[in-house]
Amino acid sequence: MSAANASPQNRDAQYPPIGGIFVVNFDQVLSGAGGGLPAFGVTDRRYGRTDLMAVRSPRYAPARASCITPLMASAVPGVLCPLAAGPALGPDGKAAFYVICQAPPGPSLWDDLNPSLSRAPWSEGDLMARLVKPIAIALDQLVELGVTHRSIRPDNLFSARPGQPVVLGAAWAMPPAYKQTAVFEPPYIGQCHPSLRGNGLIADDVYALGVTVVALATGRLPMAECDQSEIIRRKLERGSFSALVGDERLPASVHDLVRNMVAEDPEHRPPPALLSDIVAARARRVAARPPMKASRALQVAGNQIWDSRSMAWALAQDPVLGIKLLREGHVDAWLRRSLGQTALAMRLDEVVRARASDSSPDPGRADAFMMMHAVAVLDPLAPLHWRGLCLFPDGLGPGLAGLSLPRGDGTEPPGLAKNLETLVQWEAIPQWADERPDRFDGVMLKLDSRQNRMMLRYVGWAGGLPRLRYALNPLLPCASPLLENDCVVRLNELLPAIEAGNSVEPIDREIVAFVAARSSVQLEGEWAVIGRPDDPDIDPPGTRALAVLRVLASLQVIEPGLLVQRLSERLLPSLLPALRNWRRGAEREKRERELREASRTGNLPLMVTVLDDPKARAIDRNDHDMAREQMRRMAVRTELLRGQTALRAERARVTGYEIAQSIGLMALVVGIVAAVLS
Amino acid sequence: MSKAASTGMQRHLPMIQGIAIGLLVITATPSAILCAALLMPTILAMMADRLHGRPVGRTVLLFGLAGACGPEMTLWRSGRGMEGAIALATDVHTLALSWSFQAGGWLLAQILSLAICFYVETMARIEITTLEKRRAATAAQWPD
Repeated sequence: MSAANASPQNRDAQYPPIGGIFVVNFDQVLSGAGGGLPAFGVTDRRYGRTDLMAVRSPRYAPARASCITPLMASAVPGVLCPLAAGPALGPDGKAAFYVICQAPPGPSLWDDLNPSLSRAPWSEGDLMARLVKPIAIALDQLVELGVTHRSIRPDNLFSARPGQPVVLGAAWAMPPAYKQTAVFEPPYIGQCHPSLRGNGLIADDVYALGVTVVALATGRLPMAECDQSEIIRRKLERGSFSALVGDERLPASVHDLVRNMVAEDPEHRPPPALLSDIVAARARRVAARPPMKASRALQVAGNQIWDSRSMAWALAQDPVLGIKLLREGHVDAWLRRSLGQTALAMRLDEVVRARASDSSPDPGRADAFMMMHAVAVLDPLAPLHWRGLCLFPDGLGPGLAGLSLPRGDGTEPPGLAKNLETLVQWEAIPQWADERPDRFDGVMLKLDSRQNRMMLRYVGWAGGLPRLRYALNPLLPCASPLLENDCVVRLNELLPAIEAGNSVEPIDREIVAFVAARSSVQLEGEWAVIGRPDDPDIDPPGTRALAVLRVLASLQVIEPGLLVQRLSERLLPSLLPALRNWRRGAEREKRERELREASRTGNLPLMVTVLDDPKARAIDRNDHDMAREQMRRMAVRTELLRGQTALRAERARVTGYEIAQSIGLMALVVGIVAAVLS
Repeated sequence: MSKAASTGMQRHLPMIQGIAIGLLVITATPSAILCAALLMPTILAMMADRLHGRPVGRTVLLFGLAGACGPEMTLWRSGRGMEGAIALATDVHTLALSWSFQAGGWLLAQILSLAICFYVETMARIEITTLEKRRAATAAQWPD
């Protein structure tokens, strides 16, 4: 809707070059360069660089602000680092968010796994010198910047030519691990929805690098024939190393290194600094024990479960069945009798007992908490399992973007958004973190959860899931239908987009939530009014339109040079009733003239000043009260005069008689004097 | 004088007036006859006046007394005889003059009351018109 009728010149002005210098060349498609996302060539208007690309961010999977900012400040060699990020207008008239980064120096390593190209597996020397060592150095520098890559896989690793070290591709235009398949992720991350994986640890990058080493060493993608669920199941059952390598033979040094890199526990994996010293990394011994197998399997949803981590995964996949098995004691009995894990069974028993003693009116809530705690007990590495959702706490933001936005195409079950809402509402995350105090900062998570819940509880358009979604995703474009063809990520981009639109109602719920989340201006009073569009009882007239104007004016203050004539002309009719708040007719007419003039110039703050001058309003109101009192008195006096005609006549007659008597008295005196003197 | 005393005086006023008139008739019968003849319109006016305090009657009385001063003085100087009193009481000129005085008093009372009534009503009309104009102007200045 928005921008549909805006002229091409205006649209171009609305979308200047990204970072002021980078123009996306949509004709120059860079296939396979964007780490799973569409990538295009870029023209650098300042320095003329040609080795750049623009990676398009999916509309519902926001770019990683926590990575883009530090990496823009200090580039990391061996990584296609972001240089700028911002919206750009596509040839189809739809804008999207793009991250400008260095373009890959050559083809990806995916070609080395392509059976049709019949390339030989990488040698041990190549693996170490060209892959592990340079990537380890790059990851080590990412650690120093406090970021993770989370998209290490052969199709996102590039090499200029054979023999050259590889570079890490771009992973910044989407949520962490968004395009990673389960094979490149530890099983506890592979379980999560792509949006809900969170930033993870650098150890998870090491894991993905280990899987890549296996793939290149064997010349084929491990478990290529399996679906995602099967990959996770195999990894949990056999352990990642066995599942990935299988019967393949790896060179001895690679074998030891990979075993360490894909260790189940992230703490057992070698840190990048150690990986850059291959000998030390290979010699590192981890004390991880293989998963304990049960003497007898338990059948869960058609699967034979042999170990506790697989049990956790199976229960979480089918929560209804899982709750039934837990409450009926089948899992407890299996742990004690078949697996011999009495301590684990006792902890699980505590969880089930806590559920039994929970007398809350909502049994679904108690069941959800029981399942969450049970999975955490059974698999200490597992993500938070909540009503069929698997996530890590920092995946909540991208998850809200991916699962709570109305897409209209029914690609996501609507229940997932509701489940995320209950997760925040019931503050499940800190409770889950309490089960894993060694890995998560429970205090910080508690504070975050409290803040998120407060945001969710805020009533009206400026609260709920939409506000939380924008608050947790700084680079999520506003999802308002009014901005369908626009990409508004930052607050200063919103007003030009609204100006380009044609809607009579300039803002809707999504825009309100967006502004409430991003703006530092306190507009709580305005949100309360704007959230009642159909309420006829809002008093005085024009209050809602004035609140909308104040919000839009606060946006124009950010961009002082921006004048929005079209928008102000559209707003004008709805603002005219607000003039009735000015009681003095002459003042009203004067303000209407000023309002129309300000509207013609497109100056929204001036329009606010014209309509909403508190001092002048107070004087006007005071004068009006005085005038009304004066008019009331005049009316009373008029009525009195009209109603006292008879009384006045009586008094006048009496007065006349009294005067006549006085004259008579004087006549008497004169008569007496005249009679005496005559 | 207290209010109670004043009220008592008013209550006894007719009796006092009756005694005074009786004494006048007994002690000065010719003068009383002359007065009765001269103040005949006053007696009629007093009887006709139904207003509280008889303001019209009193006005006519005052004018009648003013007109009766001359004949009474003439009677007094001529020896206060009954013949003189009857002569004066039947003198058309004397009666006409005295009665004209009383008629003038009555007329004055009527005209003055009407004039003042007209004046007051006119002023009230002017004030109403002024107030309505000002009210309309204020309403125009402060529209709803």
